[in-house]
Amino acid sequence: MESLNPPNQDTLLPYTILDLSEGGHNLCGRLLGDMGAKVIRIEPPGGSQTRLRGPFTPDSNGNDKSLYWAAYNSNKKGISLSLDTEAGRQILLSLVEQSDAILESFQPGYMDSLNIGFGTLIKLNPKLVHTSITPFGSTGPYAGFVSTDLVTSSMGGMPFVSGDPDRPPVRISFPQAELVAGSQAFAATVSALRHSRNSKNGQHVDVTEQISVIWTLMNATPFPKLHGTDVKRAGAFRKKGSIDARHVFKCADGHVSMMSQAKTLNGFIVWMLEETEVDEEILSFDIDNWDIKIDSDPDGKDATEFTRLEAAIENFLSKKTKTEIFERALSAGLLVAPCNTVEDIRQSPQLEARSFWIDVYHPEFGRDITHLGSYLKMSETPLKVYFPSPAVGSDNEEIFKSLGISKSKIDTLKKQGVV
Amino acid sequence: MGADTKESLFDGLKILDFTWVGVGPITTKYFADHGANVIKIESVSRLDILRDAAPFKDGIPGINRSQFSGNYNSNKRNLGLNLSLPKTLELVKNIICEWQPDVISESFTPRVMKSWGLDYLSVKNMLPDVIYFSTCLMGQYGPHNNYAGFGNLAGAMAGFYEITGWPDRGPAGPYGAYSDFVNPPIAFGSIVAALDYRERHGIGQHIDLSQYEGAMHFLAPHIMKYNEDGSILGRKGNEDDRMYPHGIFPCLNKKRSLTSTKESWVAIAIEFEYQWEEFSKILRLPASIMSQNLAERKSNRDQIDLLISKWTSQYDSRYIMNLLQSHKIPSGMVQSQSDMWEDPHLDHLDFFQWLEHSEVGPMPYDGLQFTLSKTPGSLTRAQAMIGEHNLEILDEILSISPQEAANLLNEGILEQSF
Repeated sequence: MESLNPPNQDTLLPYTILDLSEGGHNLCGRLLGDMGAKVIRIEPPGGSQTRLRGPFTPDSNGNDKSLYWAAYNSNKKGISLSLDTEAGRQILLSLVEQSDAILESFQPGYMDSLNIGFGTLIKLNPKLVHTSITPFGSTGPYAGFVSTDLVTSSMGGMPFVSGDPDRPPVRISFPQAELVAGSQAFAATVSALRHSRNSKNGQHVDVTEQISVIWTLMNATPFPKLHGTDVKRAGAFRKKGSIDARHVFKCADGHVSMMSQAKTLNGFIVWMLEETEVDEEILSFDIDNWDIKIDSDPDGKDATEFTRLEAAIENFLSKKTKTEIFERALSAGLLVAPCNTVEDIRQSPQLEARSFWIDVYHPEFGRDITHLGSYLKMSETPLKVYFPSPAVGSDNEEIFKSLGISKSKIDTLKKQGVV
Repeated sequence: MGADTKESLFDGLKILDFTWVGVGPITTKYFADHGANVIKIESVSRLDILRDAAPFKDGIPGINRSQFSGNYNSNKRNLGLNLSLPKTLELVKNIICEWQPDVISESFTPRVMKSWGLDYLSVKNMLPDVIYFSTCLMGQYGPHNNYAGFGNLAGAMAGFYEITGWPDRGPAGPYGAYSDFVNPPIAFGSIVAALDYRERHGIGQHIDLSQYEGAMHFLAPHIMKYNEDGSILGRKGNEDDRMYPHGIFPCLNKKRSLTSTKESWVAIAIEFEYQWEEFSKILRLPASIMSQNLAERKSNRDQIDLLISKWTSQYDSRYIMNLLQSHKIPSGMVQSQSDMWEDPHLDHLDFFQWLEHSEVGPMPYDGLQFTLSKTPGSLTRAQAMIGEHNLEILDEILSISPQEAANLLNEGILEQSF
């Protein structure tokens, strides 16, 4: 029997992965690919719906050059396959026989209805890791819900705690629910792959967007049970008992975020004294003994004094630029940082020093695209952008040939709408 | 399949965990929850800030009462040490040589482990194939490497503040230290990958995670867009490029059993035209509006948003969710934490768990991040108090007697929070 070219054993993850997932779930396969796995992105012959996700390149003709696609599908081979056809499903099954994991984000029950569900696949390949990434998981009262980022984020509790108190809750303006689920899917899949290599046992991995979002809520979830309260949205402020402590300050060219701890507040007084007059009374404040820890309940005096100092800092910062403030933060160890726009990020000397920007040639776009560098640095097995995101079916010939499907057979399958 | 046939993912794996606050402890928690032997080193004299932060058991502050840190430290044993003393560092090096952990993890600014002689190269001399995980805000090297801070600051720097809130107002920021929560799954996965590699090749390595860089990958397409044409996303409230209606709308106030929260909201997202058709029928929108395409609806947003709000404010959010879902229209409650405690779906998944803390009794835990059918994780042990396992660990690894341990406690080498 012909076989898929095995992945290079010298890489971090020498596994073959079939990626049928969509949208932000594509992050999972992208991470596996960055670690050297051979990831085969399988999309319908008409192209994946993820290709319709913006943002698009400026020379995009409508929506034909998706940066969303490029970001989360680089380091993947691409084949096209219609699961609506029996021939297409047979090809999928022969790929599954030779793979280590399959990633998918179909509605629960969909693969079963086509007789290509986990029960079928694990019989075919007992070592297989089958990762399902869905809004609410494979079972339960909401498993059949239709969802989008806004809906799953809301069910996972993020908008309720984000935004201004006098307006409706808000989500993060760049969709996060699918991506955080994609990253949890990566964590689970790598673990199950290692276990499968050691034990020869595959398994099913269930990842839900809702739970992935809940895991971004920091300390919020235990509040109802321990304090009898809900954490609520507070805009540019964070509640510290009776104080609304400002955590976003306006500055000359944008905003900065600050944590009001004694060392930082004292550091600001030192800075202000270097450049301007500071109210005698403020200088007399006993900041080190203020009760202003996270979520503490300061007494009236501490709260009044805190508010006065905060107003002085607010006024002082309004005349400084983000860069000036961050330079001071670096030299004096202050807990204040710029609310960066992408323009600021692009100018970061730290990212420059760590070679964070990488140009990759995308044949589909006919030119280089600047990618973000690796998620993290590994001393023995550096993560890389090995190759660009695929065009629809760009690796059909190579992959199908390795399955023993001839060129003329591929042409026939193409005419039948299978590939 | 019976519980006895379940296998553990990380049975026998040993982790010596120096991390604190968010990213590090959440990263090692995955291992602890899936069978690894994790010893967390912690200090009373140099306290993890989260030990001192709400929520607390019964709402009362106390070093052993915080569930902020509790939630990230299930299933770990705890060794309380004052690492600022040279004799403590000798003890730690003995533990490393005797116990031979597979993984060492730390989340200080890069100068700290070096100052203790416990940086990667020093440890590698003791354990040639160690996997050594370092994470800090800005990464191990570079001009800003020693900038110390928290995940809300890294979240601001990575661009999340600038894109959360309303276009006519300043940034609101996502709630919490956002970069602390997007980095751990990738950190954990990379350590597992390094273990996989070591098992095949016998080689350990050093992992350097900059929380600032890691977080940016969750905005990658938007950053690449700027690289292309200089355009910046900005704050969009709840707007979406591809969908309209798309927003969060007010519902009837509702009583919660756990809190006094009254406000209630529903999220609605119309992704496809057939959903718009159904939706406008349910709301009985005028034909002149019903017939509008996406672009027309968007330009008419104020009027349509108002019509939707008038409709939603008459009903309970759960009623609207169920009604719209029965028509295959994406909608969901904007859940408060109290709503999630009563969410029938999370209940079906047994998401929230209670674990018995040694001093304060039952504490509420978020459940596992994912479900594995053959090697499921489990929450069995609440967060330990600082130094709770001093005697057990020192006896097990170095055969130190209780009397010797008492001396170490008197000398201030060992610490405990009870």
